[in-house]
Amino acid sequence: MIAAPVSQAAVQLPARAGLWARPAQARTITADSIFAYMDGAGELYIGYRFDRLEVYEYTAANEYDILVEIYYMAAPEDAFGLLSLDWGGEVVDLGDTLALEAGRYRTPARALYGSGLLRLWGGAVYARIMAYNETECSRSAVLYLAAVIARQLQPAAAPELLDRIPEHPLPGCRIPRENVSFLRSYLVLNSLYYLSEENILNLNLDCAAVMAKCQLDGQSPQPWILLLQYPDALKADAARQRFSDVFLPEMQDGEHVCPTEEGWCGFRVEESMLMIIFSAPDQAWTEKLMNSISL
Amino acid sequence: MKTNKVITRRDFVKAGAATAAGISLLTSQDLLAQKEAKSTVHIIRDEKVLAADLKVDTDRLRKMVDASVMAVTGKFTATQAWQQIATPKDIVGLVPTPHLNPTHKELIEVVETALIEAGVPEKNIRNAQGGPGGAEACTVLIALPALKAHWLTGVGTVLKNYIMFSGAPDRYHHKESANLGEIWKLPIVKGKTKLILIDALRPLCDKGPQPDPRYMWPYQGLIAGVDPVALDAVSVKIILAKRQELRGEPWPLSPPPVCVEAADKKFALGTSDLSKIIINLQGWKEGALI
Repeated sequence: MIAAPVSQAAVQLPARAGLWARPAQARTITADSIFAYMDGAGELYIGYRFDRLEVYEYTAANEYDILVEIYYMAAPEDAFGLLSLDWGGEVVDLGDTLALEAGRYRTPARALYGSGLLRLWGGAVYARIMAYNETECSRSAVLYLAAVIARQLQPAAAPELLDRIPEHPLPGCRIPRENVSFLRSYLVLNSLYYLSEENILNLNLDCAAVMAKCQLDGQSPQPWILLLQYPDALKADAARQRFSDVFLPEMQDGEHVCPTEEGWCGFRVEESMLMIIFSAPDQAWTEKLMNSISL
Repeated sequence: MKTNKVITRRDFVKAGAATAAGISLLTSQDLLAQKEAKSTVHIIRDEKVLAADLKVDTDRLRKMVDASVMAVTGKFTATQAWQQIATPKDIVGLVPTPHLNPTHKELIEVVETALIEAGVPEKNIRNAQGGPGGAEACTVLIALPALKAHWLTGVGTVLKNYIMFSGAPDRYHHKESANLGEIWKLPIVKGKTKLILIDALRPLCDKGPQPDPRYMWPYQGLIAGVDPVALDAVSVKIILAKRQELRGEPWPLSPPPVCVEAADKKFALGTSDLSKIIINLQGWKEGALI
């Protein structure tokens, strides 16, 4: 079931940011119009529980525009998911305006900046503020706009599913927070880790998933953990069955680990949860890793 | 009964090893007879065409464009080269990337000016990007895509540039993007493309098509030719080289750009095998990534 949008008042933006001024009205993009606005990129946002997007283009004489995109999502985890797809960039301290709600999982950042683009997450909002050309002036304006936006957002915790990913699951194995992403769509999964041309895990907006790349000493390729939460046990088992049939067709019924061209692959299903390990070094390690994570 | 008809990561890993042995991921029924002819891709670069403030030096760009068409046609002057591409009787459609990391407007204007100087009436030159009618009305097409990685298709440059000519772009999304090459064989398109000029002034090597300046860099180049598959293959090579440079280790495109090999092996549109592509680099050599 898709959650109703959380209550997030529309973010109010200042009329000016340094040299730049905004138009009187935002352009509002909905799921129906997102492909006209960003053909080829709309699937990324539709791949999460998207409510609407508000766009402002700040302009200034003799300067490139600054684009402000404020994505209103159905829930904080959807906004978090968008930021989590790329933890690269300089961590921006926006004070405690984006304070974390009680929760065990510590995210690498709430706002990240790089080469003119600032991305931030707060509450059910994900925002992109982009100067087409980075200058000292544009950087100041971008950071100012980010601070204004952050002050208006509600605090929120990272998705609970991330609490199940340990930072040090086994000796010699680490899962940096910067290697962890939250998603609901197989297209998004494929952009992180190409699995299949089809949706062989039956992912949709009712599901939640975490993809995490391990750092294991001396191992190439590195192992990956995919943790999936389905609406119920039947759906989790159906996904497990389809994955097994398509991805591991040589696996015998009753088995749950199998060698592949990129190391060992294993899975474990428990009620509505499914965990899959890719590119593990051997069978025993695969089993140990699966047992180290509580579903 | 277990089945493995769906293409998965494992097939690509197997094909990676098999490619060296000439085995394709495509099924035998997809494979068309392969020609042995080589394709040539010309890369023309000028380290000063794009200034630090991203302003385009149009004089330098014009020289790059003229060098590109002379290289593609083999003519000794730019006028002769343009006259080989289009005559005064032709209706010439320019096909740029319209938005999200779009083709620089300066490039479109330079090409338009060059065509007019070569004798093509201004009224015969139009922007053909959009639906099938754009291509149908033209006798000559000049593709002007921008170089970029694409999060749904791996690469979103030459082959994808004509998606709107299909009249049904939805039919080429997701796994069906492998069939993008067939659009170039539609009767309204086939044989009309006399020049492909990729805008590689400031490409995007990740997160495309949405612009992300962290992954954009001043390559300061144009990539020219007539073989859309070879041009996309070289585009992928440059993008992958840049990604490896950024990460310090191989950073494959995800998903893999299957449309490039399929355009070659399934639709016989051109050459995807880099060993059969001659790359002619002119101008600035540093950071050419080839």
